[in-house]
Amino acid sequence: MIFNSIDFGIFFFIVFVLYWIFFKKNIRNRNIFLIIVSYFFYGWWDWRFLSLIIISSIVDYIAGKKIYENSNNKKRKSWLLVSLVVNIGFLGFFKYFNFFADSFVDAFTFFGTNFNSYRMNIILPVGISFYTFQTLSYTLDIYYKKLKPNNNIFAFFAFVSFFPQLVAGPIERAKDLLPQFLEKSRINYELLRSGLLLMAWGGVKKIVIADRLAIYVDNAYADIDKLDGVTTVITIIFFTFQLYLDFSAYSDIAIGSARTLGFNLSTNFKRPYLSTSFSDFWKRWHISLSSWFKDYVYIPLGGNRKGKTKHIKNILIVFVLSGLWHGASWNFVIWGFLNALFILIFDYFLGKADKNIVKRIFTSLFISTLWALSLIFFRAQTFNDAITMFSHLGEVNKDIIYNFGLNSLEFSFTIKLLIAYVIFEIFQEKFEQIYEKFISINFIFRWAVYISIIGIILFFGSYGIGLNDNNFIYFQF
Amino acid sequence: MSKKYKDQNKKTKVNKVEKENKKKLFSDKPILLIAIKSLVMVLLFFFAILYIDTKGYFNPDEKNNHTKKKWDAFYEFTKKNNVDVLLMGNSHLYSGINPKNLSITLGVNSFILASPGTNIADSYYGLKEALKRTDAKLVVIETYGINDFNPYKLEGGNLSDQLKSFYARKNFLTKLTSMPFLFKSDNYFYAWSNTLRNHRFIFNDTTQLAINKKLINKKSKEKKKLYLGRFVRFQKGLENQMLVKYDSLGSPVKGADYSYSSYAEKYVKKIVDLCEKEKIELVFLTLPMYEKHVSEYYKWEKKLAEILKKYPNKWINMQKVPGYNGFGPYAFENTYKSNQHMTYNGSLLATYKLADYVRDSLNVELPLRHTDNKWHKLFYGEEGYFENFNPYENDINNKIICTNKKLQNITIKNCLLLDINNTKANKIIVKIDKKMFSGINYENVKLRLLLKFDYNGVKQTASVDLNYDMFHQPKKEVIFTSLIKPLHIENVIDGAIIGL
Repeated sequence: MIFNSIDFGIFFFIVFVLYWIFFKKNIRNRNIFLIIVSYFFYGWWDWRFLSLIIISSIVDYIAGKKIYENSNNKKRKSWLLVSLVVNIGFLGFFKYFNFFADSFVDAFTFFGTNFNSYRMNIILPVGISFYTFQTLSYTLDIYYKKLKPNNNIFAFFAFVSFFPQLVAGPIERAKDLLPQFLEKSRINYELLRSGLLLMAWGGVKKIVIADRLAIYVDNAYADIDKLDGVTTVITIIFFTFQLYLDFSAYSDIAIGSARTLGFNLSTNFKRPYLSTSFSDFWKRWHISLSSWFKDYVYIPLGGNRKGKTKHIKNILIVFVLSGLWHGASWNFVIWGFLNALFILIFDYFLGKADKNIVKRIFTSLFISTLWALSLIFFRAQTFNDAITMFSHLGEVNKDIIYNFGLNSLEFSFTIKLLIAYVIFEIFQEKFEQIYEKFISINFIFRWAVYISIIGIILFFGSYGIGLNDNNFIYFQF
Repeated sequence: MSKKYKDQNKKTKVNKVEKENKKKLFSDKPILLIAIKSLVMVLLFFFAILYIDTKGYFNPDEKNNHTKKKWDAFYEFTKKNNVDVLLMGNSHLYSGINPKNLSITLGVNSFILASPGTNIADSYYGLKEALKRTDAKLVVIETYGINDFNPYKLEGGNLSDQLKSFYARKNFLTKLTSMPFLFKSDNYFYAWSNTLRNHRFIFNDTTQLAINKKLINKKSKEKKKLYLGRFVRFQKGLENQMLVKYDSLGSPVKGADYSYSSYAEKYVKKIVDLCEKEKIELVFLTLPMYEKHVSEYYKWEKKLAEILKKYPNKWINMQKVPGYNGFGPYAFENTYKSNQHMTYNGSLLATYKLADYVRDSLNVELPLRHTDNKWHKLFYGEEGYFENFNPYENDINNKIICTNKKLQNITIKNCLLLDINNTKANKIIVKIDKKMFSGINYENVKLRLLLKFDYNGVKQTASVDLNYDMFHQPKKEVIFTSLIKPLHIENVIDGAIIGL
């Protein structure tokens, strides 16, 4: 079930109504209800993989308790290992088995020994990378003594499976989200309004902009040989925005829908293309994942505290792992590696942009450009495709701009949308309290905005028969 | 302070308190407040879209939307008439059967409610809706829609066609209950609203938007003609170049490739049950493709029979049944594509064969409408009418030249001169009783007539050869026909069957 589907609309409406009518008073019943609807939400895609979530939840619930109860370090470590083996084991098997099997064969073939490649026909369970990391954070926090285990099994199961953020985050920490399942849900008009507005805004970003960009990008990447310099640049720019708007739209809808049920989820994006440095970029892009890697990989490895060489090594490890987290392919490894290089070079040589507006614009453009180039490896199906994309950059060809699914009218509309969106983000960056200002303005103007948002989705949304399926990009991870 | 002023002051205070209480009430019930506001928003958009849909700003090309045309005509027709024979299917049916000829030769009202690219599920829901409007005695289901479809996996053109068919139907409740079985949920809104389905016209079909805008402002003044669901799509039959292809490349359709889904089976049963419940005679009809177009048809037939043999209903298989394999190349669309339809002439042939079958092999009581003047008025002058009935005596455009005229070796029943809306030609039709040809193959003979006519005030004679009309086959008569110059023909002087 995806957020931009009628199924979800019906599902959410029913859940919302039942939730606030029958389950707002009793915490236990509320959590059981949330587990059931979350499992239903997930099972709608493939019920068989519900077993993975259930096993993860059981193992981590027990492991968390055992780690906390044992004072013996060895036993604590063993229980942590159980949690890691089960969670990373699932992830490794479903996501990386074929990748490692192929890489193993390729490596031996390179050295002259031939093996028959053994591949399994494995379906990647939706959201496995997200909920695995979320539940792992629970046992890791208990192990590092940052968190006490939870004694309410229903609250814990609801925390692991909470449907708004189950399949594509934000990856919540137990210390932030779990306590919310132990309290009564409180709601007020403001929370509801902001939640619904955030969901609608996510809808605009996804359906009106990202899915429209997807038409061009998908057609271009499907026929890379037909690209020239101009269309390659357009494709790169479009994908850079598509990825951001698609994923941040998902986060907006997740945060918004959770808010209408009385839950607060963490911010996942904060205008990354207006970053002042590469480290700043990673504090604005997929924040919940970046901070996860920072807290559970980078800092335990020593962070920047053990000299430059170790720092460089740690950065490389974190980013290559982050690349692999995204997908089991060498392209993602290269993408991670490139981003590690960017952050290292940027941190060491360029420093952080100051308040000089020109330098700020230049820095943001520079960061976004490098990021956009690295995304070629993120989007291309194969390494060769990525290289072909780069090779097209120098070519000048005939007028083929409108050959990739958007005619001149829709293309120019898309460009205007992107410009408008960038201006909006700049405005938002400058005036952070934009939402507070919005809700304090005249009723008529506010309603005009609400009506415009829905009207824009309905009349200018990129949906309909014959268009590609409009899944969120991060579902595949 | 006056009493009046005091009262007013009191009233204002009460209003203020009431307002504040109201505010409090809503602040205590945020969900109710947001629900009311959301409902207002939903209604606002619902009515906006309904308005745009009703106006037709985002309608598809209406000229080519014959599904809608059929349903609109059906609703119009059934306001005053009953449909006795209802034919359901897809494009094979509406290009393979001619409902006017069928109606005229059987003396009934028949109607084709077929939508291109659709399947048996669409036929079922279409039938359900149609039976609410009419009291059909016979339902004919064309079998081409019984195939390997899955309503939840429809894509592209097929989905679009099924959506058009759904949209064209009017009964809200039947549509609502059928929607979950015809489409996956992603398509629900598209099924109900052309605006949502075609909103992308804003970018990719501004021409259609402009046409629709014009149509909204301009009401059609066109006189409504009798339309019974026929769509003449192909006039030209298979040409030699295409026929050679069959020999060099083989058949494009392999009977062995045919398969059907459980959905197909399910909906065949539903149709059978529905007709049984409504006490309607149901018959399955397979319209043919050219014999060389399909190889190993027996494999296809065997699989289809697996479904149909479960029911007592008859199956008219024109692809196979002996006697029905007389469809020559002229009867089929000039194509090597797998989906071959019938031509106009082919459809006439199939129509008269179907009519024969209905008359001779089905035990169905159809109304005898040819005794009803109202019915004649409805069909008068329509295609196939004069091949089956004579013009009115007071008709100045279409005339009976002679009746029961004995010629050299034959007696003609009627000779008609028809105005075919062509300044360069009239049509001459001669009807001869089939009994006159006992033992004679009339398909290869000609009828030569010696006609007396008036040319600029001078009486003259001329002979004209009429060919056997193999496409119109009334029950008791053989038709000979020819086009002639528009002359004032006074009589048939003589004539004979030649080429015996």
